Formats: sequence, structure tokens, C-alpha cells
Amino acid sequence: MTKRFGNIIALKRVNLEVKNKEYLCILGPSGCGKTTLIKCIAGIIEPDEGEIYIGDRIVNGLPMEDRGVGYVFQEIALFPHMSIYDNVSYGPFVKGWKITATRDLIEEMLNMMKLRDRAKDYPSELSGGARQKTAVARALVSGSKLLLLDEPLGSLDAKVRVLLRYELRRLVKDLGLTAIHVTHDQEEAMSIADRIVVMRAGEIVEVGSPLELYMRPKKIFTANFLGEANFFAGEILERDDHVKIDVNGAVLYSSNRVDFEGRKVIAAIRPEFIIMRKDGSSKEAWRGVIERKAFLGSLVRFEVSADNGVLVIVKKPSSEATKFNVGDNVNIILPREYLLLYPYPEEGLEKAISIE
Amino acid sequence: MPSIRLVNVTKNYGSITAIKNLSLAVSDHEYVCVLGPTGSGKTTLLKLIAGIVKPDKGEIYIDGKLVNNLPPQERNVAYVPQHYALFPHLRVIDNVAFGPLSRGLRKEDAYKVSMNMLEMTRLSWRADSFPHELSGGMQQRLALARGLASGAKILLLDEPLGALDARLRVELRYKLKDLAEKNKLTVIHVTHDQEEAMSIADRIVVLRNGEIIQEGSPSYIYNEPVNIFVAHFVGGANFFEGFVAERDEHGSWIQLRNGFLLRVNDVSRHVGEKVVVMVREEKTVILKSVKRMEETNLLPGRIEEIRFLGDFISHHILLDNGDKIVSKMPTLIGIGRFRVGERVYVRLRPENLRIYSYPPHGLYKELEVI
Amino acid sequence: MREHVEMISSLIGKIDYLSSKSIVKFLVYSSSIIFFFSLIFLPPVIGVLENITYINVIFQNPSLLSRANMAILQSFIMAFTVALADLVAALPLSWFIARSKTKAVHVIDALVDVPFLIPTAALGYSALLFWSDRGGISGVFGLESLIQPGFILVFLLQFAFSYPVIVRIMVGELLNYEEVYEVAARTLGANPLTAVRTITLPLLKPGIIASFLLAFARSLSETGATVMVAGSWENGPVFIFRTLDAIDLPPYLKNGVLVYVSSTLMLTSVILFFLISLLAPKLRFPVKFVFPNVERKLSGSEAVKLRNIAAILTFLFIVISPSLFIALPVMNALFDGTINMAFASLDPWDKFWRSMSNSYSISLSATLLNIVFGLPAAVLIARKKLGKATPIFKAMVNVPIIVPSITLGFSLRLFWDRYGFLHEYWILLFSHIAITYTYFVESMAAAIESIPLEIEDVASTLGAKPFMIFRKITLPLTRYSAFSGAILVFTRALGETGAAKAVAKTMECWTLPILLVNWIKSEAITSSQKALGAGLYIALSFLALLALRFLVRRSK
Repeated sequence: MTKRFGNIIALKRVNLEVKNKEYLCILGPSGCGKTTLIKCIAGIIEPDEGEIYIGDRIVNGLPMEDRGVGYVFQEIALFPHMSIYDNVSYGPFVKGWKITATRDLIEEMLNMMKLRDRAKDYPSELSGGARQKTAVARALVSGSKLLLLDEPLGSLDAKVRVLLRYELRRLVKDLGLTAIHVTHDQEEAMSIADRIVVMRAGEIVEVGSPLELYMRPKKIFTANFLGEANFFAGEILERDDHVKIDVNGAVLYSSNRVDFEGRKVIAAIRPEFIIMRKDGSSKEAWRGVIERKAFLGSLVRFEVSADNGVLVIVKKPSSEATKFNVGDNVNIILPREYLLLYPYPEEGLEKAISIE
Repeated sequence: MPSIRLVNVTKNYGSITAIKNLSLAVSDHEYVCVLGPTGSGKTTLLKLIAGIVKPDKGEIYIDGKLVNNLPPQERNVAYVPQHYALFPHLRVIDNVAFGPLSRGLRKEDAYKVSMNMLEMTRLSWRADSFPHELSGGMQQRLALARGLASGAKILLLDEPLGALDARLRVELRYKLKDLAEKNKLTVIHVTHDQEEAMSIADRIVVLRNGEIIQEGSPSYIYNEPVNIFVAHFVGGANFFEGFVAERDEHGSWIQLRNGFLLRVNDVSRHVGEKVVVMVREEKTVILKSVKRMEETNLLPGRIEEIRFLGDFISHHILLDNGDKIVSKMPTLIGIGRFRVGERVYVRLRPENLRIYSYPPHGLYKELEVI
Repeated sequence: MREHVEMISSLIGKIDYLSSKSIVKFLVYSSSIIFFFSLIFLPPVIGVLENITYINVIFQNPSLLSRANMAILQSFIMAFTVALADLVAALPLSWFIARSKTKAVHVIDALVDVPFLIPTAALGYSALLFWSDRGGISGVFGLESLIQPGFILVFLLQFAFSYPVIVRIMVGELLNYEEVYEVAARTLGANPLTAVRTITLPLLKPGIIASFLLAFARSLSETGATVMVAGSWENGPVFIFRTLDAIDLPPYLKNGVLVYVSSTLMLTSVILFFLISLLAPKLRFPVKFVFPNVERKLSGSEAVKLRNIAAILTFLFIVISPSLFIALPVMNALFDGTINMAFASLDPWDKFWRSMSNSYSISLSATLLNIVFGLPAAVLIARKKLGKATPIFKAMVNVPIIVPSITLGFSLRLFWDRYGFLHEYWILLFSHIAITYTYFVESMAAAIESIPLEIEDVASTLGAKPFMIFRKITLPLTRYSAFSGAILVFTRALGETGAAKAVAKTMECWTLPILLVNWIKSEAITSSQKALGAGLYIALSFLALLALRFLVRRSK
């Protein structure tokens, strides 16, 4: 599927398959095309090229009111001049369903969302979280089996966001729905998605389960986007069972395979997988000095300046971090199995991982 | 001498008290994060220091000088509001030069200073663009450059990263700190994101309903929260209701729901007093089996949910007494170790437990989420 | 040259410095408030109240009284009818302009402004010729006169000149409207027509009410054109206009009935206006019913095409053609020698040019004064500097355009005759200021309000003093509204008949619209001269508009 807005290509030949009853998150920075993607599925926008199938049906050209898809908007978009009850019952109402049948349906939905006693209130009287729940209820009450969510939690406070996202997933799973949830928040995506689709500049970068993408991302962009990572530019010295790499004069080993040509490589490892010790230097360890220490709550984040001139970010649980302080000399070991290897990007490292 | 000092400052808007008898001192070069929920008065605090609003009571000193009646244009403080408020009709370079020009610098000097500022914030290549043509992160840097161009040494930031994508926020927060350190600035950075505050603040000030609840280093606030609100706001915490069953000279026994007992090191409460026990999510240990059943502070339960959070995995456990507890452990340790539905034991060491008086309006109200 | 620039910049610097002093701020804002009250709001009120006793005489003259009452009633009947009809007819066209993607949109969009550009007096003459004269559409049907002057002709005229107003407002509302609500409704299964009826229209209520009130006020107030096409029908302004000219009424009776009608019209229109503004928002749209099948069919592209064509045809035949019809007789007049007489200033053209220069000088002065004294008032309203009194002040500022302008002019006259020994020219100027002040202030206030306060706050923390903030931030960002406001004021002043008629007693002080209305009713003026007069009036106001627009563009 391809979609252009004037000179800008919002979606570039995108191919995607969503499984039945799957909770899929589309994750990417602002402007990557994720909202355009679900708007095409809903019929709010028509693609310039390509086909969209819902079930076995091709839906290109079918007006949005006939696609039977539930959509939750980023702006929530509850009808301000209607009560919560009227908002939620709008779908059945405009389709001409009999009032008696719909009444039960709506009561049930309101109960499920714990909005029963707010039914007569107006959107402006509700909190952000309650409004969001109403929007979801409204989208689902007509019985759609596919739910599209456009940054549904973006406008809410951090704590409310965390609470509601699990409720969303629970609801979708309980009702046996398929959900496509668009977000820029990687923590949100990782905590509730069955699979994540990572997008950037109109293209799909990678698709996988949260664990796969976090532990073994196939692309550098994914590695950086899902969480903090160390990236070291280096040269491959040997390729055996284990790959030996030179980074600024120091040596690293990785037990991961290299299936690309060329000697220039990027080695990446997550800060929390790095082992840091005050003693016990070994052949594989780098020596360095702690430059900065930041307390993050359950974790402590260290910036270590290694002897080879490279800055390494290390994270340790707080309970183990007390004995390390700024100025200490330390040994850091980058375990082979967690050191991932990528071909050195043409456009340079900074551009390849840049979020903007 | 403190850079900024507020003494018993009160600010009302009609019948609402935004800031209530607040006193605060910020030292030179200090990076202070003011942390609090929406409506706690954080923005009003910055506006008072910038001079945009006047206090109803109390005094404000900047560099030792009383500034209550000094208008904003004479305070030389860099103020960056929540959505940056960039001048949409001026180019990037003109936005930055606005300050120096307003303060009377000659055109050539003003533009020279501005170009320096743009180079420092890596925006010099966009000098001729307009604000709406820049990305979110660049707009933020422009707002900073504009504020600092006049040479102000005090920087007031109102949710500077709020408008940015989640991942970008994490990247840019450290760059903010770098900027402040390199230029020897005194910063007051307001936010509702406790992770942001903890990662870069020298000192955190927790604000609620216009009052300072607690202030101190990030580790102090996190490890020794003064009340339930602070404990809950700055990080994942488990709370249990109970009452003091027994007390001796070394500690107390707290009885939770349905008879479960917990040993704590606190000796300050009376027997029979209703309390709340708090333990941080990562300060819990999950065991599959237990050698000695008599061990105290070992609570049996069943795993209801396992959530993957990237660098952590959290287990949601329904304890046999009906209470729920969340236990967080690093991904490498927790991955594949437990299954949903599995019966486990949760160990809570007394030194990791904190006691609070039961809040008068009830625990749920105090946690005030939705 | 360099010295001048430096002098100006140091002068500006001094003003910047002064602007931060509270006493200076106080003086600027109070002078603006004093201007409003002493020249615009209080004189008419006082003028009427002081002469209120005159009313008694007409209660002894039942026929005159009943005629006056009928005129007042007809004012409101016509206003309601026109406003409602305009609303219903203009909506489909507004929809077309705001939403359609065809090329035709640009043409229609430009045409909508045409009636705006033509002064209403000329518009009235054009409509008269089109509908009533054998040379117009009547001839096509082989009739002497298809629609005689009277209620229906007035209706058609007022319908035509208020139509563009509503279209402009509704197009603006539609473009600003958050389409997401309509899209949300459609994703829930509503076909476009149902979505619009149940969601969009209710949400556009404020714009719809505002359009209604504007068309209502225009109908109540318009004098020049209405007088031309009224025939024997009378509303308030027509009645006043005729009474002012009447020679068969003794002065005390004349005065009495004029005060009666003026005061009643002023009071009633203000009350009615506020009632509608308060109650209309409470009216609910019929959203409780759905007709899925019917509305789905009506949403289909066939039905939409039909609807658009109907709207465009209505627009072209009832609004544009009557307005542009005057071009034909003007063409004739250009080639039959009349124009030479005009440029030679031969009688009656000498009086024509004099009235024209009166109109121009008054309109220009009114515009300038409104800008100077209106700006601070706009800031006061937009930034709510009067605290709780701000809405009251804002309501007062709106009064002058709610009351019919002829009554405003008349009551101003009453006041200044008693208290000032001013030349008629000044009273004329004051009356033009009074009827246009509101347009500029409201336009600027809305624009200033749309600038987030934060921008001005930040500017002050960066070191800018209040006047510097005003000229470097506020003005540039509201420049478009400032110029639109100024153009609106100028064209309104240029087109005003009623107030001018009430004030100008001597022919020397006649403004152009008064002269034209007089010409058109006069037998002594040939139809060629009438046509050319109207044509020149249109051409010259058009030129003034273009000149202003050019100035706007240059400064960009």
C-alpha cells in the first residue's frame, strides 16, 4: 500500500498481515506514517496504490461507514453535545437498530467499562481516563471485531496511561477482538502487544514479539527505539565461531553470527546486560572510569569512559549499585551472547538510529 | 548565596490557592526538578520567579535581590513555557535575537551572540527557517537558545520534554543536563514525569496542591519517601493495609488482611494503630519453594500476570490473603523463570518495608489516580 | 535620511520605555474608553432620553401612531424572514465552497464577495432595475414589471445582500471545524448526511446563531436600498427616512413620531438581540431521529450534485444577477455622452462630486480614528483587562451595530443639536464612527485573543517592554485582521445611508449614498445619469478597496 500527500510519501509500499484475534502495536516516531496506515484501513483515507483486505473482502473504495471497524481517535472525539449514554449508543442508533435490543447491549458495555453511573453526564464532566474508556465503549458497542486505536492513551497522565493500557488489552482479549494499536511509546507497546510493527518514514522496519525485538532486534533502528542501547563502531578482525571486533583499539567478542559482507560493523548491547566489577580484570574486560552516576529508582545508570576513549552506558539494579561511585576505576565485560552485530550503515550511525 | 529564594510565598487565583506559603532555596548551578501532578502549582511557581505573576504574600529573591516589584523584563531569567511559545512570524535567528535586541544590544552584536547560541544548540544550519518548519526536538532547542541568548544564568523550564515522543524524551533529557552543566546554569525544571526528574536532578522538590511535600536527592526521595503520596508518585510501590499487632524494642508485627503477619523495623506506632505498609516492587524476591516454613515475611501466593517491560519483567501476584503484590526483576534474571498460575512465595525483608499512618480519607483517595 | 531614521527609532525607544509605566498604560486605556463612551455610546442614549417627552404628542394622533407601529412591526417581520431564508439557502453553498474539491469552487468563492463590493444604495438600484423595470427580467416575461416595489422586492433585495455575509461566516466555521467529530460519526456507521445533521450542525450552532443575528441586524438597519424598493411598504428605517423628508407634518409632530420610532426600535432591537443570544444556544437540533435509508440515498453523489447545482443556481439568479445587473445601464451611460457631462462637473454632477468627496473624507477619517482609539479597546476586551466588567464592556461595544443606523444617527443629531455647536460635518463624522467602531474592535479583539498569552509572557521575560511587545509580536501576528477590520470599516462607512440621512440637513453635507437615493427617486434625473451615478459610486469604492488591499500586500 502506498499513500502520498503532495510531495510527501507517507506510506511506501507497505505490506502487513494482521492475525485474527491478535493485539498488534504499530510503533514509531511522529511522522512515520502509522496513523496514515490505520486511517487507510478504516477508510478515512484512500491509498494511492495497493489493496486492503479485511477478512476475505477487499475494502478499497468502500466508504468508512460500511467497513464495520471500530476506531478510537487520538483526540478521543466524544460528541460534546451528547451524554455518555448517547455517545455510546450512537453506532446502533444511526444504523437504525431497534431501541429495545440496543438498550441491553449498551447497559452491558457501560457496566463492563464501569461507566454505568456516569451515563447521564457529558464528556466535559469526565476525567481523561473515563473519556477514553467511553470512546472505546462507543467503538465496540456495534459489535465490530476489529478495533483500531490511534495513540489512545497519549493525552493522559503517566499513571493513568499505565493503568488503562492493561485494561485495554484485557478487554480486547476477553471479547476476542483483533486490535491494531498505534503508539510512539515503546514501553506501552512492549507491555501489551502480541506483536510489534516498527515503522519509520513510511516504511516497516521490523516486525516481531516484544521480547524478540528487545533482545534480538534485527535492525539498528529497532535496537535504539525500543530502549537505550550502546552502539560501538568497529572493524571485524576474525570471523570464527565467535567474531572478534576491534573498537578503537580495544577488543570485543560476539557469539552472534555475521551474515553480511564487509569489515565495518556496529556492535550493540543493552546497558543492563553489561557486567561491571571493581576487581577481576580479564582478557575480555575493558577498563574505564565512572564519569556519571544517575539514580533512576529501581536502576542506577552509569556513564563509563573506557580506556579506548569510548563512552559506555551501564545500568545496574539499585541494590547492587551502591558500591560504585563517580571516579571509580572499573572493569566492564560485554557478554558475548548479548553483543549484537550489524553492518555499518551507509548514512552513518547517527542518521540510522535517529528518531527525528 | 542562593541563586533563587522564595520565602513564605502565597499565590491565589480567585478562591483557588495555587501556591500555599511556600519556601524554597535554590543554590548556584543547582539543577532542581519540581515534580508533581497536574494542578499542583508547578507552572505558577515558575511564573512567580519569572515575574509574570505577582505573589499575594511573601518575598522572592534572585541573587540576593528582592524582586517582588521588578517586572519580568528586568529579571534576566530565561523562561521556557510548556509549548515553547516560539514567535511564529520570526525566523529562527530572529527568535533568538529578540532577547538581545530587546535589551538594547546593537544589531550586529545581537546577531553575533545569536549565531553563537545557534551553533551551541546545533541549529545554525536552520537559522533562516521558521519555527513551524522544525521538528519537535529542534523547536525545543530553539526555545532554549532563545532563552539563553541574553546571557541569563537562571533557566526555568516548564515540562520541556512533554511535547516530544517517548523515546526522544529519554534521549534529550541528558542533553539538557549537559547544556546546564556546560554553561554553569541554575535550572528549575518542572515535570510530572518522575523518571525524568530522577535521572537528571541534583535535587527533587515534590509539589502537591501548592505545597512542598518533600525535597532532597533522587535516592533520598525514592528510598525514604515521607508519605504515601510521594512513595506512590516517584516509582512503583506496593501498599498493604493493616494494623500494629505487637511491638517490642526492635520492631513491630503488622497484621495484614486475613491474618498475614509482617515483621517491620519500625517502633514508633502504637499497638492497634491502623497503618499502611509500603515496599518497592524491585525490593521483593520471588521463590519457587521454601526450605523452612517458619521463616517470617514469606507470603504465599499465585502468579496472575507476567508483564514484559524491556529492562524489567514484572510479576503480578495474588497473595493467599487476598492482597496483591507486584514484583519487578531485571529481564535477564526473570525471563522464562516463572509461569502464569504458578504458586510462589514472596520474601519481603523488614529493612525494605516502610510504615505510614493510615490516611484519613482512605488509601484509594490518597493514591488518587483515575 | 539617516537622521530621520535615528530620530524615529529613539522616539520609539522612548515610547517603549514609557509603556512600562503604569500611569501611561492607564492613560492610554482610559482615553480609549472615554472615546467610546463620550462619542459613541452616551450621546445617542442621552439624546433620546432628553427628548422622550415629545412622544406624547403622537398618542393624540392615532393614524400616525398606527402607521408608526406597523412600520416597527414590519421591521422585525422582515428581519426574521430574511435571516431565516438566508440561513437555509446559504448553508448548502457554504458547504460546497468549504468541502468541494472541484475547480468551480474558486470561481464561486470569488463571486460570493461581489455583493460586498457594491455599496448597498447602488445594489438597491440594480435590484430595482432587474426585478421591476421593463429593461430587466420583467421584459423577458413580457411584463411591464415582474415584481413591483413592496414587501417581496424588499425581501429579495435584503436576501441578496445578506447572503454573502452568511456564506463567509459559515465557510469560515466549516474550515475551522474539527472534522474529526464527523469522521468519528461515520466510522460508527453514520452516512454523511446523518453525520452532518446529528453531529456537525449542532456543533456549528454558535456560527449559525452568529450568522442569523448578523443577517437580522443588517435587515433591521439597512436604509438606502430598502427605501428605493419599498414602494408603499414601510419598515422602521423607511418610515423615518420618509418622515424626515415629509413636508406635510408640523415639526413637533415630526419630531415626536421620529423620537417614538427611533427609541422603540433601538430598545426593541437591543432586547431582542440579547434574548436571542441567550436563548438560541439552548435550542436543540432534532437529533433524536434517524432515517438511515433515506439519508443514505441523499448522501449519494447524485443527490449531492443536485443539491450543489440548486444552491449555485439560486446564488446566481437571486443574488448575483440582480447585483450585477447595473452593469448594463452603466455601459449604456458610458457611451451616450453622460460621462462627458459628469467629468465636466456640469449640473447636477458638481453636487455629485461634492458628495463623493464628503463620503471619502468622512470614511477615511472614521477609519483612522477607529483604528487609533479602537486598538486599546480591543486589547482591553481580548486580554480581559477589565476583569469581571469585560463582558459588560464587550456587550456595550456591540450595541451600536445592533440598533438600526438611522436611529443612531437621529439620536446623535438630537444630542449634538442640544449640546454641541458643531458643524454638521462633525456630527456626520461622529455618526459614521459610531456605526463602524464595533467592526474594527471585534475583529481585532478576536485576533488578539487567538494569540496565546504565553507568547507575550515569554517576550516580556526576554526583556521587551509592553509597547515593544505590541509592535513586534501582537501587531505582526494580527496584521491580517487589522487590515480586514480597517477595510470593513471603510466600506461600511462609504455605504452608509440611514445615519447620514438622519444627520445631514443641508445638501452641502450630503454623502454620496444620500444623493444617489435622492436622484433615483427624482424625476429630474435621467436614467442614464442615475445609472452612471451608481456606476461611478461602485467603481470608486472598488478602487478604494483595491488601493487598501495593495497597501496590505506591500507591507507584507
